[in-house]
Amino acid sequence: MNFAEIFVNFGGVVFGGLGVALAVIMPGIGSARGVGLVGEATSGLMIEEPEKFGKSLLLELLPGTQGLYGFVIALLAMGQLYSTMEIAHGLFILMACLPIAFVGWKSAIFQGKVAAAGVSILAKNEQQTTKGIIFSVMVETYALLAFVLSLILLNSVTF
Amino acid sequence: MDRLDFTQGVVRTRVLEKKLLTFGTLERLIDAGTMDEAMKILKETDYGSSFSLLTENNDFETILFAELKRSFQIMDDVSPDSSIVNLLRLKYDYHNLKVLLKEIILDKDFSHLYLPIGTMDIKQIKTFILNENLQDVDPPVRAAIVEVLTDYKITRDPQRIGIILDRLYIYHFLKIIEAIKSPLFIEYAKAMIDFINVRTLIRVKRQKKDRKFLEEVLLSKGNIEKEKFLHSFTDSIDQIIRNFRNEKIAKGLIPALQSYKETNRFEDFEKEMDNYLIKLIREAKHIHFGPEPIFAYLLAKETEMKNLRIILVSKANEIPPQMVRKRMRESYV
Repeated sequence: MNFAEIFVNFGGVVFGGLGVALAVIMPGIGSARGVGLVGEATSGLMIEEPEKFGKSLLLELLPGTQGLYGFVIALLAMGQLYSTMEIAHGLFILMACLPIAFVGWKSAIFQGKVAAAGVSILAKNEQQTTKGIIFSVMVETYALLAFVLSLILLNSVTF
Repeated sequence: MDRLDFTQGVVRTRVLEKKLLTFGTLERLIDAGTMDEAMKILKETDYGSSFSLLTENNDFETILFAELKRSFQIMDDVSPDSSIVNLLRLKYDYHNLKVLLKEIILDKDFSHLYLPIGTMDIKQIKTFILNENLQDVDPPVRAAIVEVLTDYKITRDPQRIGIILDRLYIYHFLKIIEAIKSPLFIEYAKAMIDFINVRTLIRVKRQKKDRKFLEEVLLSKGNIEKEKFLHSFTDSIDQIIRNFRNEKIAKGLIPALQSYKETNRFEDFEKEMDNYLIKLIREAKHIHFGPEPIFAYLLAKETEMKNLRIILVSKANEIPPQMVRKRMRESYV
């Protein structure tokens, strides 16, 4: 069996698989970067004021959700994969995964930056920390929109 | 340099900033009737532990210096890039170099004047100079030493040591800043150069030196062209104020020149200069990723030390509070 034959016979599942992989890989990288950045900031705070651990945890977790969204989309897309699926079906699954893959990736990093800046509020003015959390949650909106769209796309067309 | 590398350091700096003396505490210190009262107030602050070691009231200089040294050590630990802290250590390096070269040229012992807070091992440099082997010295410092020594051979004027090193210090400072690529630092350095040039202009006029000398001692690379200072050479102080009215630093420069005009004291000019620069660096409060907050903290600490010294010296000499208030620098917080 040559490459062209593999492409014709199994192209669908290969593209579908690529979509699944991207939905996990990209938001995963973004979330790791975001959580890592906030982790650096909060550990700086822990050196001086370890009693603020509880409040800092919320900021720390915020950029982590994108990875979770990507994982959920990947699981749902994986459920639709089968070895003999058509190329068009596979490509469609890939497309459906793209919104969360890209938006999840970048938004996690941006959210991480806002949350890390929020740690400065926690450091200097503890009473106002909620404001930092709200600013950070604003970024979450766009990850959530992408997640919802990926979810709808996956279930919108039946092959 | 990746700005995000400073994330942890910035948060730590934010916590340390909270321990800087507030306006209220400084006011209470100024109004304190005696040295003992001032000490009581200081013991409630971050300086508590160091000042409680003080036995004789007048030895606060040692403690202030130890505190400054401690701040630098903390920041060495906080900053992921040593060049930021070393940038502020540079002026102590050049101070030490000045003392060292005067020692060598005048063959006297000034060892009590050294400030052991810089990056250079001054004893080692002394050995290098005496052995006439400068290979292992940092190139800009090596160039500075060579320039001072050659200049002294020609002019035989020890006063020029300070003049040359002050100029080379600024250029070295600017060179490090250019490598860091922070717009705020560049603005800071350029404003500093402009202020120093104006100060040089009025100083040269006061010392009745000639235009050629002014041209030599003026610094380049500031916002204001060198020519403008040379054109103002024959002008009166009022005319100088008018000449520089529209410059970028005018907001600080005009009050500085005006208070110099009133009192004829360079300290008053320098106070306004310090105030302008600390206001400029306050921008760092809004920067969350980058080296600026670390630089600003150390600058704030230096200003705080300056203010504490003014207060404590005046307490020791029983100078009334209103006089002290006039000399106080604006603080960072």
